[in-house]
Amino acid sequence: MGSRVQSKSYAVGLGAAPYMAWMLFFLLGPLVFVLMVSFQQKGLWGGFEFTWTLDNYRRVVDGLYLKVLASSVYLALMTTFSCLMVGYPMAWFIARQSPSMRKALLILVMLPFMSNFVVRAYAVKFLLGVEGPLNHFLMYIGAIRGPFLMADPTLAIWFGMVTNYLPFMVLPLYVVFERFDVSILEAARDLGAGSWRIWWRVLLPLTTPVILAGSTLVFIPALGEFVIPDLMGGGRTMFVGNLLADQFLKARDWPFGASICVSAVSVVALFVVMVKLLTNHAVNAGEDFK
Amino acid sequence: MIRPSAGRYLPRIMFLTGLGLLYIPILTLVIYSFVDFNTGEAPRLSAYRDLLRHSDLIEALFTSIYIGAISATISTILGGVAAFAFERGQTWVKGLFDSLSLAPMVLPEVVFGLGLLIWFVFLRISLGHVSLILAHVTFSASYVAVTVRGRVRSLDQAIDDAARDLGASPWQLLTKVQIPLLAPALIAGWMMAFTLSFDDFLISFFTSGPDTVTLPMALYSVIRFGVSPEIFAMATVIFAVSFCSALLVTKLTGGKSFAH
Repeated sequence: MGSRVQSKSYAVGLGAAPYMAWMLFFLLGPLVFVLMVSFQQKGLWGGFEFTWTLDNYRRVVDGLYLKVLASSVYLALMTTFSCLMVGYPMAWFIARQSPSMRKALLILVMLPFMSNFVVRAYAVKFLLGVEGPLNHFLMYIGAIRGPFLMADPTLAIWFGMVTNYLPFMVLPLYVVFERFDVSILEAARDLGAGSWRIWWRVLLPLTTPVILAGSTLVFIPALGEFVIPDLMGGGRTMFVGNLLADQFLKARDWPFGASICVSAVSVVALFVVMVKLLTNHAVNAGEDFK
Repeated sequence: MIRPSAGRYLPRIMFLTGLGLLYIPILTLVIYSFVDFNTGEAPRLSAYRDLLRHSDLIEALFTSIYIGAISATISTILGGVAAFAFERGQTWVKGLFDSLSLAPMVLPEVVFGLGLLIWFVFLRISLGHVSLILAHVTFSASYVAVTVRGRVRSLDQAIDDAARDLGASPWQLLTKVQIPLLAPALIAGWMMAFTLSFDDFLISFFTSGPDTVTLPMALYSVIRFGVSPEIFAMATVIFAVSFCSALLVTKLTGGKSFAH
């Protein structure tokens, strides 16, 4: 009997084969291919020539492109930080409601995310744009003389990214806050700690791992963002997403584009490793605390 | 009840700020689709009538539905079978499954889309419907797999044993017991895959080739050229449809799709 179940299990396990084959071919395949192409020479008419070289990476570390990468990382970090500042108290507020209210508020937070991203990005552009209601209103009440928000698209891009990625931060924080044992905080209060001190010394250290997890969920897509800068900046601002699209679609320089891909993924990997280290550190500190 | 924040009302204020951030842009578009503030004329429904004349958008809508339905069906079959196999069968690739399922989440979308583009060009897969479906299945199948896997895990295996003891053949067990029990997760997975496909702009933009235009791509090209009441009307329709379908998915999964 036992052996029959066992052999059957292997047969059932075979059902995973098509999925795995698909993923290896269409997910891992392109990634390995990009890595390979990044070490090749540019072909005469696009594509690549099969000659191993490091030239593409030399171009990446050349000042201009490194600056694009740096400004993208900066913008992604600012977006992550802003989402955290708004998302943390939001998640706390939702978690402290009654169960049915919690569910309703959570759906309310997630709902915009379920609608089309392009349209949402456009909504932000319209709101902040030169012809948009906010500008008209500010000019009407005399706060500003001319359009100011789109003068520097970075501000609009930042705003667009924060509204877009906020749910990514709220959701994991909410899950932790919902299960959070408030008696720990009450204990801290009984021992004479003030609100600020409770937050800084108890709640923040205990929630550091999930803060880092939420930050990863925001940082990664924010780093490669293409649509929002393209829409808000109208091609005036260069971030890594737009640079990549240009290299592949306009310049048709696959190897250089691929090397930027690899660089961007390396930044993400670096971020993930740092988050992992910080999380371990925080968890260890938490153990000491107990 | 104590509130460990700088102020008693801070979480409430920040919650409202966050909701404002999320909803003000959307509501602005919805209001502008009905009211023209330049002429002060309201309510205005002409924008919705004009929308129907945009044959390119209607055509793109059908392309999106077609691509979404096919890729969601393939994703559900691939991901659903794999989820079942991983939970109930013996495999030696569980770790690989987990990391491959995670990959679309930790990879910047641009990198994935452009990687797929040059991979398709290299393999001489023609860019169009086929490449779009291949790309969409790749990013949505893992979501189906994760959703269905959760449901398979929560099923009581004793039900299978009971069916077997009552003389059900493996085929009957599958079609009469397991598939009906998994149906809510399969339907939710299909709808999730359809939504992911229907909403995807970036990966479609890179992998579709010049002749195939999905709705988000058509929207994008309209949007890039400026402001018109039809865009507001179209955005309102899209918000309404996606909100309704999101609420439907929530009903089907009992809100669980929001919890992970």
